[in-house]
Amino acid sequence: MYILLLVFWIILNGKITLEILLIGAVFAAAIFWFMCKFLEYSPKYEICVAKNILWILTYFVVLLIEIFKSAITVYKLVYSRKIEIQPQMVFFNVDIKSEFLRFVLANSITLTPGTITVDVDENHFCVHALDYTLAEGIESSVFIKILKIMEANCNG
Amino acid sequence: MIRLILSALFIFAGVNVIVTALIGNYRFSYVLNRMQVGATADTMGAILVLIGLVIRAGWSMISLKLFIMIIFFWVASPVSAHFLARTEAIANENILDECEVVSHGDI
Repeated sequence: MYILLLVFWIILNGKITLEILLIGAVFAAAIFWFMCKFLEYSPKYEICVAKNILWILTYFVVLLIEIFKSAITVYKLVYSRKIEIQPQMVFFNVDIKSEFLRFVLANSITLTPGTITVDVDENHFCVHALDYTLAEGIESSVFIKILKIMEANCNG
Repeated sequence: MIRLILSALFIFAGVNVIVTALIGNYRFSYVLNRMQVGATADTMGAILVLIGLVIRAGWSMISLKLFIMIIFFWVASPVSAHFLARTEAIANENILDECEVVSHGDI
């Protein structure tokens, strides 16, 4: 995380000089301390990320593919001659305990064109889908499988 | 030269997606359906245009900044979409006319 903050600072600056590096190092350390102290961040998350790095990359690839596929579906719907859709509101349960992973899941569902997460309450999800084909199998999607594996890796 | 063509292709595809979302916005009538189509512009359109610009800029700090923009788009746009959708779902009394409700498992 410290390195990420430093890299973010350098990218925003646009060039690397000794001055920028030193100031960045000091401020990144300060922000890192602040996060640990007040935002309930701790280095154990970094161990989690290191354990799951391959799964995180897989997740991004899967997310891109899913977005592409459903974007094409929505594209076809928009240009179909007569619009015949059956919007659905789907309620389902997900047994993921970590709050952050549920946030990732809700965001991925909303990012996929054609589905929007309307509400998340504990582990009850409420998702609106543009057409019933887009909501098929949403309660056992690839995202959930990968996130469950990640959570198991973190705890075990 | 090949970089120019590639970036032009990506930007063209992105603009195409955004125009489609615009047309879709007028073809659908209900709020949530319109938002679904509008969200396509946020995700697919923005990322295609930005990838085109990244290819155009090549390996430099500018393309890294564009990557940060992509990440920002992808984190921020679902949150706003979610808030709008929840407000609509809470405020609309006749929501059952617009969509069919399905539930999996015991809620």
